[in-house]
Parts: sequence; C-alpha cells; structure tokens
Amino acid sequence: MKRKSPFGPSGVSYPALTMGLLLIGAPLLVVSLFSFLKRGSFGSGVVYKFTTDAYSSILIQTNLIGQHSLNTAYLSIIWRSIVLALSVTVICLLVGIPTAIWIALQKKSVQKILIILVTIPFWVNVLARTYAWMLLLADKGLLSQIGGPTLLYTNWATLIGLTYAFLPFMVLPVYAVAEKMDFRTLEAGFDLGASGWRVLFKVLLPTLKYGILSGIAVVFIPALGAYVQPSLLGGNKSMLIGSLINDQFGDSRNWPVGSALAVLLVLMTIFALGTFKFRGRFGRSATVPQDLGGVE
Amino acid sequence: MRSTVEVRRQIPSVASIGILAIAFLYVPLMTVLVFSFNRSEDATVWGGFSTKWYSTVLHNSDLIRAAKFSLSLAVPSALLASLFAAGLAIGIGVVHSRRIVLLQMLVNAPLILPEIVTAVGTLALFSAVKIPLNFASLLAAHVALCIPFAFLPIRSRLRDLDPAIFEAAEDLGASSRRVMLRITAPLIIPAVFSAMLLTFIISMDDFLTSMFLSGPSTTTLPLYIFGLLKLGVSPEVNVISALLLVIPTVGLLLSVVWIRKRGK
Amino acid sequence: MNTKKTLGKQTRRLQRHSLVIAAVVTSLIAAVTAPVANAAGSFPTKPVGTELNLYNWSNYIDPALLTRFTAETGIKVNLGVYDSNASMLAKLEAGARGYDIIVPTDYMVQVMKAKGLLVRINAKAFPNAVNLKKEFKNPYFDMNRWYTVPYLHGTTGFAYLKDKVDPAPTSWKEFYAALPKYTGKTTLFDDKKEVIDSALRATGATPCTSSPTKLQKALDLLKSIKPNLNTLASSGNIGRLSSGASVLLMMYNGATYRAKLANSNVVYVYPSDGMPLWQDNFAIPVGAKNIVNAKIFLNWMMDPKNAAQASIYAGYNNAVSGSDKYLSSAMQNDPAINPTDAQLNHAVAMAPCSTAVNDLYSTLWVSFKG
Repeated sequence: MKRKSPFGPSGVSYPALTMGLLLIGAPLLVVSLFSFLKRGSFGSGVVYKFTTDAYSSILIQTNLIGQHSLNTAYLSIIWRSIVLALSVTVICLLVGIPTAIWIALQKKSVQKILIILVTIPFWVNVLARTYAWMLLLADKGLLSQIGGPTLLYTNWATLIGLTYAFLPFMVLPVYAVAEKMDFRTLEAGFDLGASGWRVLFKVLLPTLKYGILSGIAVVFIPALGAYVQPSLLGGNKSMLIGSLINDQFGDSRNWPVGSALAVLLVLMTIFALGTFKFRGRFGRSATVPQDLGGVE
Repeated sequence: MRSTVEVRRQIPSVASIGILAIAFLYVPLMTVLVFSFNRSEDATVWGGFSTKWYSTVLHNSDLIRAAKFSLSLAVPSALLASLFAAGLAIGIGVVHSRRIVLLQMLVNAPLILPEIVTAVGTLALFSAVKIPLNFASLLAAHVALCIPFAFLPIRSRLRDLDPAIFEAAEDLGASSRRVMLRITAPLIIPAVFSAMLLTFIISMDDFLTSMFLSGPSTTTLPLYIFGLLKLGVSPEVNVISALLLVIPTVGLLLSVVWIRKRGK
Repeated sequence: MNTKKTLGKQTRRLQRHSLVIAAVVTSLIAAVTAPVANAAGSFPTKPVGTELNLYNWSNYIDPALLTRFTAETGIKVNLGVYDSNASMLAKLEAGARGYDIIVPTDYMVQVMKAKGLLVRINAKAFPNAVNLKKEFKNPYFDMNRWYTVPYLHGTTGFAYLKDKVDPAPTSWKEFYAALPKYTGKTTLFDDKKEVIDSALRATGATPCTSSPTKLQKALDLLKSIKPNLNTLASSGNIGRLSSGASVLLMMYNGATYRAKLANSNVVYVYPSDGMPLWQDNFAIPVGAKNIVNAKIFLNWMMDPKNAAQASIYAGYNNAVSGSDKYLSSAMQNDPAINPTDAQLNHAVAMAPCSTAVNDLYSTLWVSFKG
C-alpha cells in the first residue's frame, strides 16, 4: 500500500533517500566489505579475496621477532580513546549540568542570550577554536606567561580541546529539559527536610535524565572518533582511533585494517547509543537556535 | 525558612560554575581576537596594536583561493542539501513504513556517526567503483553530509503546523502536488532558510570529509588552514582564526535579527 | 685474376646490396626515430590552457618564483602541499587525479615507477637538460632521467641551539642520548622512514634491516625518548627551532639554514654515524591533465637562474650547473648547505626498503606512536 504524506507527493523524498543510500549506506557497506579483504600487493587498495586478517591483526600482532602476541599497540590506542572520551564526557557532565540549570533559572530574556552565547562557538570553525587553545597553551603562550605549565602537545591539551569543543553539546540538551522543569519541586524536597545531595540525586537528576543521556551520547561518540584535536593539540604523539584510521588510509596505506577500525568505531557508536538510550536532537543540530528552527 | 537557605546555597554554586563555563568558552576566542591585532612577529607575545597582519592575510592569494573554493562548494551544498531535505520532510510525511524508517536512519546517520567513518567509507566506495576525486564527487559527499542537518529544522517546522490545514486542502480536492506548492512550501520557507544557513556553515567548516576526498584543485579553506596550523602558532593564523570567529558570528546574529523581524 | 674479377664483381654486388640494405635500414631507422626526433625537436613552448597543478612539499618553493613563472609563460600555478612522501603516495593511490607535477624523493621515485604512477617524459631531451650537472644525469633511481627532473637535494641530520644545548651531540647516538636533557623541547619528524632509519643508525644498525632484534632495539630507543618529545612534526620545524620552542631536533640541512637566518645560534650537524642523502625530483603523475604545461615548468626549472632562486629560498643545493653564481657568498659558504667531503663520507643515498621490511617499519611505527 502506498503511504500518503499530507504535505505533498511522496516522490519528492526520493532524491534525499537516494543520497542516503548511495553516499551513506553504500560507503558503510564498502567499508564493511573492505575490512574482510586482503590488502593490495603494494600497500593501499584491496585485493578481492576474503580474509579476516584485518581483524586478527588488530587483536594479535606478529611482533618484530616473529612471535604472536596480543596486539597491545592497537588495543592501547582503542583503550586510550575510550578513556579520553569518557573523561571528556565526565567533565562535560560536571560542568554542563550546573551550567544548564543556571541558565534555566534565569529570566526568559537572559536565557535566550545565554543560549546564544553557548551556541556561538559552534559557528566558529573547529580549527579556529582548536587554534585558540594552541595560542593559550603554547610554549611562551598566555598560560605559561602567567606562570602556568606549557601544556601544548600533551594529552592534557587534547583533553582540554575536546572538552572545549563538546561542552555546548552537553549544555544544550540538558537545558532543553531543565527549561521545562518546575524548580518548585526542589524547594518541596528541601521543605521535606532532604539534604542537598538527596535532592540532587532523587529529584534533579531523574528529572533531567533524558537531557543528560542525550548529552552523554552526543559528547562521547564524537569524542571517540576525534581527529583534529589530538593531531593539533596532542602533538601527534599518542594516537586515538580517529588518527589511527587516518593513518591506515593515509601513510600506512593499509585499507583493510583502516576499514576494520572504522567498523569497530561504528559498533562502539551503536553500543553507546543503546547504552545511553539516546533521544532528542542530535549533536550540532541541537545548536540551531530555536529562533532559526521555526518561526512562530 | 530552610528551603530559602538551601536554594540560595544551591544557586550561587550553580551560578559560579555557569559563569566559569561561559568564561571557559569565551576566553580562548577573545584571546585570538585580541592577538589578531598584535604588532609583534611573535604570535603569543603582545607587542602593541596593529592591523598589519590583517593586510598580510588579505593579500595571501592561496588563502583567498581556498576561501573562494570553499564558498563555491558550500553554496551549492547548502542549496541542494536544503532542497533535498525539504523534499524528504514533505515526501515522507508523518506516518512511516518500516522500510522508510531504515532509509531515513541512513540519511540521518551523519548526525551521530563519527565523521571519519563516512569519510573513509566514501573514499573506499569511490575507489572501488572508480569515481575520480574531483569537485563533483566532493560536492556529492558534502550534500550527503549536510542533508540531515537541513532536515531537522524543516521537519520540526512541519510538525508544528496544524494538520487541519492539510486535511481541509485534501477535502477540497487539491492534488498533493498542489498542496505542496501552494500550502506546504510557503509555510516552510523560513525553516528552509535556516537549513541553508546551517548547512552552509557545515560545508564551509568541514574538514575530515574534505581531507579524504580532496584532489589537486579542491583545496578547501579548512584544509589550507590545517596545513598552516601544523606549522604551529603564527600571527597570520591569529588573524585567520579571528576572521573565522567574527564572520559567522555576525552572520548568525544578523540572521536571528532578520528572522525575528520577518516573523513579526 | 678471374677469381679476383669474380671477387670484385661479388664485392660490387655486395656493395650494391649493402647500399640497398643500408638505404632500407636508414629509411627504417628514420621512420622509427622520426617521431622521437620530432618530439625532441619540437619541445613544447606554447602552453596548452593556462593551468598547472603543482603538488609539492609544504614551504618548499619560493612563491615569487611561481609568480615569475606565471609572468613569463602565462601559466598559472595552483599549489597543493603535503608533508611526507607517504601521504603524497597515499593521496595518489586513493585515486586523486589531476596533479600535473609532484615532487617525490629518490626512493619514492623508484616505488612510484614500479607502481606505474609516473608518466615517461624523457627529461634528457628537454632543451635545458644540458644544464644538469653530470652526476645528476643518470641517478640510480631513474637511469637516463626517463621520468624525472631533479629539484633540490640535501641531507637529514639534526640541529640545535648552541646557547641552549651543551655538549653538542655529533652523532645520532649522542642525539638520542641527549634528548632526555631537553624534555619538551625536542622534535622528531612525523615520518616513519626518517625516524626509524635514524634510530637504527643510533643503535649501530643500517636502515632497511630486516633483523628483528635490531629493529626491536631501535623501537626500544624510540619508546624511551618519546616522553621527551614535544611533537612529531614534518613541517613547522624552522619556526620551532628559531623561536626556541625546540632546541634539539631532527632537521633537514636547508630548513636549518633558513632557521639560522632568524636565529644565529642555530647549528646543523651531519651525524657521524650516517645520514641520508636525498634528492627530490619533479615528476608527472599519471592522470595529469596539463602535461605540456608541466613539461614547460620542468624545463624552466632547469634554467640556472630559476634553480638558483629555488635554492636561495629553500636553502638546498640544486642540480643545475651555472646556478652557483646567483647564490650569495654567505650561502655558498654555509656549512649547513655545503658539507665538507669528510662530512659527506657519512652520507648514504636513501634507498627504498622491501615491502616486507616496510611492513616491519609500519608495525614498529604504530608501536612507537601508540
């Protein structure tokens, strides 16, 4: 049976659906396919012959002396990516939730201004934002001029850069829920003699649950696949999954392993989405100001 | 008694974190802005006010060429993506079959999937079916990346509309094509405009997809800047970053004002 | 006599035959060689279109030189940049087409030739090829210059600031041993081959070794000094060195020369335990769209004046005789640009490793970068 849209002919949706099929679906399919193929004889490209070498080489390495062992190099890169993404998420939670509540407690007109303030950094190119931190953290940068350490080209710099990039992702979805919240429920909690912590865990966080879960998903997932910040702020020294995939498709020219890592990243994304019961508006789209989203 | 004390105790701590967070977001940006007017050759040490690096940057022909190329890519990307997204929002309506839901998930995947996955996937696809890396293939990838970002504001606009309008039109015997052209299209124009603005910025800013799919004559602005950033801090990049901060911000604020006015 | 007569007759017949044969052969040769002769004779002087896509190492050609090329020929140069041979190769192998000129290093020329990625251009037949120094006419990686035109050549060693680093290391071994003293102020290239080769030299092995224990020793060394590095970077090191952000780092000689122009404390070291002597070359990759314009550019770059301008900007020697007279005496005498014979004794041409060794290098590199 043919569906019918009240808004117009269903045929007008075909261009977008075709694009999705050809330029999202097909690439995902090809990556999955390539991850099970043999590496091209001179490096990059693939030979159309089935093998699970790519996956086993991520797990098991034949070391320089020819022995087989657990591939700690790849596994530690994956582990480091997860730890870093989790740290970014936790910091964003600790800072983002209070910020969202604080914004929601303001007068409506102030709220609008604050939300635009939180949003603006997104409209600035990610490279420019990352560069701003290079300027602050560099040797002879502002932080070291006021007596701080030189953090540029350390994992700390990567952590700061990622937190900076993703903090608004946390603030906006939490704010979206907090805005609708009735703060008198908190007072009621205090009136009943509950402690601050109890109110926090029993009233506040459960109410904000969906905003927080969305926030976790939209911070954790892109942080996991980040490339720009580790490469520019981390000094290229400790790889993350993103840089490893880039390296496999770039300098190392091992497409099957690069594809296998991409598949792994997709699986981790799906797992994270399932865990955090993702809802609501996604990532960067959450930053479209309401005023632009639709005009009353 | 107790409640006011507790809430007051609660609020200041929330407020201080909130204010710190806003400061955290703006200190780096303001630093870049201030240091773009630095006279010194040293990017990080203040040496007095000057606009000399602005004139250096505005005479950098490679930068200008990259910027022009990015514009020539972002404008059609935004137009096509918004058009396709409007078609998607109109065509699939509100009731979805399972098959359409799956397809729609694919279309919207770039919202959540780490971009590097679709970027290397597209590269692998193009290489497998021998599609050359040129302007057209880069444009196609940008459009696919942008469609979901355009789709969201348009769909939310459609959802907010009163279904009665469309029921009435149908009752009066209007063809679905006529409904689309006469009723839906005029109503979603503001949303399509915000979709274009958003997708324009996304295409202008895109780094990863462009990095994997760029060819000889397709150096985008972010690719050029990334090359500069690898050189470390420099007065020129201070200026470029400041421009990247100011131009979209002013554009955003202006369009917010414009839309508000238009809405009234 | 009779016999003589007969002989004479036969000789004459033979002569006549041979004349005929010679005529046939000559005309055959003429027919075969005609297009070649024509091609060499009619070296393109008129550009086709006005575009040229040059894909070069970052910060490796004088922008003013390109401007002058445009002024003289009407060909506009679009410059794209990369910062390692591997990333350039990856880009081409991924299917990027339309680069007209690339700048592969010696060993990469061999690799790309083997993969069929280069267009055969017979550079020796270019009018300005007569200017090439003799030792650059038949390099090991491209005998007869079928595919490439030489650009600049130099060495990979290390550099330090003499007011900050003491005692000065003189070998890779001492270089790596000194790194922990300057934690956070040291840099290595983000280049698998250069870094691993240097670590192998520091541990007493030779590059491209397939010996697992030797590779393991190099890896151990690299891992031990990793915390002392600020970054792994193949570009931007001139600024890092002259500003003092890095005080002891892996460097090319020409880049060091340029850093020294900004900071007189900069010193280049030719490591006594060996260093690669590399030659960069212009080549035309398959899929090039403006081959005629590319050839015009390649020929133009073998003009002494133009080669000299490239050298002055980048700080490396070129392969064109007669270009020296355009160089300043300071540059002609700079130790970073002109190694002594004794220093050159440690230099070894950079050669590609086998695919098997390359894979070992890759494994090592991922373990190191981790």
